[in-house]
Amino acid sequence: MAIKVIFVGPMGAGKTTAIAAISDIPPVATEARNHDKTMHVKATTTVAMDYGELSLDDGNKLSLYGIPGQRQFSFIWPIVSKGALGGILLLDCSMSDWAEQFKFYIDSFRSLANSGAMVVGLNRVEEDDKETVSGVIQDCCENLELALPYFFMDPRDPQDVNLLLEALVINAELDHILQGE
Amino acid sequence: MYSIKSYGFGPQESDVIKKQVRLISSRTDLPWVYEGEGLDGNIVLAKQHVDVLPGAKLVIVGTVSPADAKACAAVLEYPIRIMKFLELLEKFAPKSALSTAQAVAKILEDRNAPDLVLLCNQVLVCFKNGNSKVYIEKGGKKDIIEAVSKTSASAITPKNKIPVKDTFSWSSCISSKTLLWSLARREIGYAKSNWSTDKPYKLASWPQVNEWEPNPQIFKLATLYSRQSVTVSEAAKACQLEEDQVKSFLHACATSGISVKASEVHETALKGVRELQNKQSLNWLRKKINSYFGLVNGN
Repeated sequence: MAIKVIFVGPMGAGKTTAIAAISDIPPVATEARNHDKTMHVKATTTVAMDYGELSLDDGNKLSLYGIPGQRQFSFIWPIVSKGALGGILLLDCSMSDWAEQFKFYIDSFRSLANSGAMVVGLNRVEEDDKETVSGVIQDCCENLELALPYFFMDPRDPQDVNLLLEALVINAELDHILQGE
Repeated sequence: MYSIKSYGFGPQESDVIKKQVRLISSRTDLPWVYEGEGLDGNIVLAKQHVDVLPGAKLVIVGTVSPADAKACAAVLEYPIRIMKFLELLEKFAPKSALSTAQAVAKILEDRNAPDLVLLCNQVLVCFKNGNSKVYIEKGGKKDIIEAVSKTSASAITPKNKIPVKDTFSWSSCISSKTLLWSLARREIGYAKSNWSTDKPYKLASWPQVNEWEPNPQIFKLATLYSRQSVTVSEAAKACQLEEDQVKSFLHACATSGISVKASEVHETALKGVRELQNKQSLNWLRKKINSYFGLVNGN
């Protein structure tokens, strides 16, 4: 049995880092030199996808897929997200356009968002800014008529990434209940 | 202002009533004033039965027949004793429509308002709108919640402001959202009477429950109410909680600034609601990710 979770978000949001933080296997990454320094100053970026795994003794596994953040690779997003249990949208809130990126990615993965199978991880938020960032997210969600779970997190911290996964698990459990299995 | 009027009293008697009200009003939560003769006050004092205007409460002063006693709101002896008069005003004071948590939310809603220091359960508490934090004179975070929760809603008002020097040092602080959440979650009685069991509700945005109250059932409630309209009774079944707890959750969300929308459209289709912990299919995953809430095997 394999369950798939996808990590989405703009370049530099921490997708590769988050997968590496919880994967049982060394993550498979397709990093290449970043030629688009206008989007992010990091040296390398994902060009196909990242892959990690959480495996259990009984052979079950959770596949973790990270999409490439650059929009020119958006053609691959529906392919990677097909059959996913849910999506984790990561955002770097130190970027000035993070709210725009939020709307863009929700729009791009609208079917996951509509079913509640998307959670948002907000990275690089200073303690004093949390109130403001919450307000922006709440306004965006109300405009989109979605109440997506969002969490302040550090993609390097496995516990933070696990909290995002747990939100997806609870949503999936609710699906079982709502559909009467 | 809450008005007291009299009917059928002479000028000297009216003057006595006026002085008594002035004295009493300094001891009541509400600002009562005497407004002379008339039948349209919040309270009308009369020597015998009289038809007061709608909304006014008739208080007969003096001896009354049993029939008149039934027709009026209360009876006071003549001459009016000041302590009895005080008791009467407290009894007839319109109940505050706000709970303590809502009163705190009200004073914190304007981020540009000046800092407000109040005496809450014998300790000073400072509500700082600028940084959305609440400070206490002595003690920790729990003491802040304890002190404010023991303060009545009517006492949480800028009118009761206590002046302190800028150099005053505060012992500890709590975020205003955490305080509002904690206060509202304690107000089960208020929530019980203000939220419907059968009306579907939906949250317009996600409450930060992982920070305000890390609890698996509350997390499930937040997830459920965030995705669709659901009634209190259905949510209680789905999340294995008492209905009062669900109502208190909704009250806490609303108090903490999360818009809770009542819906006429019943979206939910909770076919055969069963306990979440019986759903074993995802338990292996939960076990693997070492649940944030310490949930193992769905427990």
